[in-house]
Formats: sequence, C-alpha cells, structure tokens
Amino acid sequence: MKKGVIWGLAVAAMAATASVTADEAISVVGTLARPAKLYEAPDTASKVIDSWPANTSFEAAPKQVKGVRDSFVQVDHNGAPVWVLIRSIKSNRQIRIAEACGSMPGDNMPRSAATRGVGEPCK
Amino acid sequence: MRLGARKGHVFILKLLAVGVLVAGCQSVQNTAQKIVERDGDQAKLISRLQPDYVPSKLAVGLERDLMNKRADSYGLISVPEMSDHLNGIRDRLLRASGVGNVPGRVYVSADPMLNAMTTPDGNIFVNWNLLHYLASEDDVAAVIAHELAHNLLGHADSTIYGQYVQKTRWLHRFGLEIVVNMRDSAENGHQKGVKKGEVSQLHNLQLATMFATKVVSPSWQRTQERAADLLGVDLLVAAGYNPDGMLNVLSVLKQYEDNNRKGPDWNKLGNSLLAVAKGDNRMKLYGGISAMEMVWGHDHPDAETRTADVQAYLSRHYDDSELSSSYQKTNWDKVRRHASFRKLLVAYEGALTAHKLLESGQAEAAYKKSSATIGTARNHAYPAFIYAMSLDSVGKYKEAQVALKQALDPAQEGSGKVYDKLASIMAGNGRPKDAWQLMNSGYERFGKAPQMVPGMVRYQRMSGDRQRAGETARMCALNYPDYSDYCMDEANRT
Repeated sequence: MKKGVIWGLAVAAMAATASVTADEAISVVGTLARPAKLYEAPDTASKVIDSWPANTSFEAAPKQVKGVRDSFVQVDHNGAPVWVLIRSIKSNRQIRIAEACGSMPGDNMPRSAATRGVGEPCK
Repeated sequence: MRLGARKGHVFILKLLAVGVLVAGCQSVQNTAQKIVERDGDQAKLISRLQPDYVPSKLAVGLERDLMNKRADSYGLISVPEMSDHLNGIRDRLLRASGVGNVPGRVYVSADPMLNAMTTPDGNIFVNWNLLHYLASEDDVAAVIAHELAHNLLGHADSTIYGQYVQKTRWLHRFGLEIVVNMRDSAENGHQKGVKKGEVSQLHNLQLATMFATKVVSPSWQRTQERAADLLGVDLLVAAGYNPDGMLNVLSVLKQYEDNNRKGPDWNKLGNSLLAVAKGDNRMKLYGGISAMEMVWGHDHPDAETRTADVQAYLSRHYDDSELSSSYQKTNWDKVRRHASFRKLLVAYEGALTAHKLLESGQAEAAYKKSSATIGTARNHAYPAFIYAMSLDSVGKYKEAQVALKQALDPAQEGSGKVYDKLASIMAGNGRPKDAWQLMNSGYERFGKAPQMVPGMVRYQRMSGDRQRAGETARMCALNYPDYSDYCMDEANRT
C-alpha cells in the first residue's frame, strides 16, 4: 500500500456524519382542535384549573416553557404556573442534532423498495 | 418463411406478456386492496388486525435478509444486552397487538443516519445513532411500534406492483431485442433495427414505469407511513407505554429533516418544466413526471404533518385519563449505558469523527482519534476500515494492511459500504479490474446481495468489458427490479 493511496482518494469522497449531543428547548405555539386542559400539577388526576380554547394561536407570542415533567410542560397562565399535556398542544421543539447524511458510495442508492423506514433516507 | 418468423416473434412477445401478467395480477389485486385502507378516522387501526399473521410474499428468509442488510449498510452491532432489551419491547408490543406468529427480530444497524427500517421478513433494524436521541423506553418502543405496524399491515407487499411494472418493462425490452436480432438475420438487409411502433411501445412502458415508481409508489408509501404511525400509537397504548414516545421520535425526525432539508434542484425542475412547455407530447409527459417526482416524490409525509396526525388521532380515540403520561427510563438507561454497548458506540463515533478529519485533511488527528477509540471494534468492518485509512495516511502501511484485512475478513461482521468505498478507491487508482473482483467477492460474501450488483457492472464497464457489464446488468434488471435502473445506467454509461 503506497503512501496516501487510500487517503488521497478517500478525502474527496468521504463525508462528515454524526455528533451525539442532544438538547431540547420547547415553546407552546397554540392549541389543537380540542381545548387544552390546564392542570394544577403534572398529573391528569390533579385539578383542572382552566383550559385554553381550541384552535388558539400563540404564534405571535409563544408561551415559554418553564419546566418539563414527563408528558407535561409548565407554563404561566394569568400569572400562575400551570401544567399542560404536550400531546394536547402545538409546540415548537428545538432539538440539537448535529448529524448530516454521509456520502459513502451507495448512500444515495435506493434501499429495496419493500423496506419501510421510520424516516426518509438520505437523498 | 418470413411470415413464419414474424409470427414466431409475435408469439415470443405475447408469451412474455402473458407470463408476466399471470404472475402479477394476484399481487396487483392484493396491493389495490391495501391501498384503499381506512386511515383511522372512524375506528382505531388496532381493531383491524387479524389474529393470524399473513407472511409477506417478498420475505427472503432470515440469513438472506441479514446479508442484504449488511450489504446495504455499515454492518450490524451485536450486543446481547441491547438485543434482548429491544426484542423484549417488540415482544410486549406484539402481545398487545393480539397477532400471533409474527416473524422477525430487532437488530442494531451500524449506520449513522437517524432512521430505522423493517423488511418483508419482519426484521427491524434501528440505526445506532437514532438510539442516542431516544430518552426513554417509550421512545424506543415508538420506533419499534412504527416498524412493527408496517409488518402487521402488510405494507411490504404493495411494492410487488412496482417491481412487477419494472420487470415487465425490461422483459419487453429484452424480448424486443431478441425479436429484432432474429428479424435482422432473417430479412437479410431489408428493414433492420427497431421499428417506429416498437420504439413507441418501449417509450410508453418506460413512462408507465417512471410514473409507477417515481410518483405513485412514494404516494402509496406516504399513506402507509401515516397508518404505521397511528397503529404504532395503538400498540404503544395497548402495551402500556406512553404514546408521547411517538411524538418525541417525530420531533427528532423533524429536527433532522430541518437540518438536512434540501429544496428541489431548481435547475433540474426548470429543465423538466421547460420540456413540459416546449416538448412534444411524450417529452411533456417525461418532464411532467420528473417534475412531479421532485415535488411529490418523497415516501414519507413531513414530520410536522405526521405529528399533527398523531395528535389528532390520540385526541379522537383516547381520553387523557386512559393514557400514560410518565416515561419508563430506568431499564433503558441501564441498557444503553452498558459497558459493551458503550465501547462499540465509542468506536463507531470515533470512526465517524476520524472520517470527518480525514476528509478535512487532518491525517494526524484522524489517526489519533481512530487509534484511541477503535478498542474492541477492530473486527468491525467500518471502524477497521477507517482505522486502516488513518494508518495509511500517516505512513503506517503495514499496520494499515492488517487493519484492512480485518475490515474485509469474512469471518467478522461485514459491511457492503466498505467494499463499495474500497472499490471506488481502487478504480480511482487505475485498478478497475481489482475493484470488480472486490465487488464480486462482496456479492458472494453477502449471499448474492443485489445491492452489490450496480458496483460490479460499473467496474466491469470501467475495465473495458462492456459485454460482461451488459450481461450482468440484464441479469440485475430481471432478478432485482429495485436495482434495475441503476444496473442498466451503469452498463450504458460512457
């Protein structure tokens, strides 16, 4: 194997790929087609203090999430902290993912059409 | 004599057409039934499941399925603790589904892309890098539930139609070539070559194939992805998992999509639309299909739409009080932090970083990273391959050769992408025959995996053996419909 034989050619074709750090920031941007219940505590058995009407948009001023407990996020409502189920609202979740599709040969080849993935393959 | 020869030609074509139709009609009928599936608006999708699993017609058997995956990927990562845990989740979901005799297991794939996939054999492959972003067992269960849902809904079989159309197209073309050759020799100089009507037939078949594979098939798959998400939610709930796991996975995929989003290739789109505007009728169709492919050719709806669909489904069919709102983390944390799994992940992450460093010309740093992290993964193809390249880049040629041998050792965990990469390096160094031999050995090693064939055709052609490249491409076109266009393109490239 001569010096740089592999390396020299590899440089042109190889690609950056992954990082593993993940971080998440959430804000509430609206409600769904049903009203969203606002709970006193992060528990569906706890008291429902109020609710946000269906199809309300907070896009102009997204509600900042103060805390997360399992499926609940905590936000301010009329000056008081309340808990709402994340599945009952529209949220803007920012997750830090430093990953890009690679360019190893064959990365752009179609997978067998009979396979089914959870996400779109690299194109 | 001439008339008899013509009758013979027509007979051959008819025979081919009938053969394909007989083979294809039942599959097309099954596919049509599956396309018109309810989407969960009226009832939960889990209520549609039958107690007995119907195996896929496209199943190839466990060994071959695993070989295909190795040929198509960076390899498999086998750690018993992780494997047991993932399969335990699958078993729990299956029990909740009420469906029996479902084949398959869950495997960890060494691929870095954030994805998971399932095959017609029911095997599920989760890429290791996706596991990083799954914070709880409920998130992991959501990925497995989505893939399992594809199997339970029999989605793989809908692909049979696209494969059938592809095969018909190539059979027709090769049949026509035989007819033309026979006619040319029989007519002794009268009218040689392909006739105008035959060219038209070929173009029509090509158009039908393009439409089926580039536009219709992705569109069917988008419907199937939605159904898999929704049935996945049912399975999570039935198995006692938090269904928000599905929303968490979709959030990761949305971010991934945002990071890697590529808009349409506007030049290509412009050219296609120009063909629509200026071309003759056939060119208009080609341009139109090509433009449709760019705009609608994705086989998954975007993650934002999928999130909204899952939320609407949960709201329609479930009350908050019957759903779990806590996450199961303890066991998952223990498993993913298990020493053997961590060591392998460190090696793969190190290989990826070294890969990046090599790309940016930092040979010494790549070598340091690779040698510091490879550890127990010396017998894993991808880390060993990157290690070999790093060693080579700093002048440690003997060690590089040893590492390269390990990367290609048939007794160890293999990766088709390593063969592909090394072959491209060889061909770039003016050794296309060696590249061809390497791809051929990979083809054999991975149980004649179709994924290796386009590369074989490429290096046969680059070696100057166009005849063999053509023969291999024809074999590929008839036996491996998913790869036929790639093989034929490789053979015809100048």
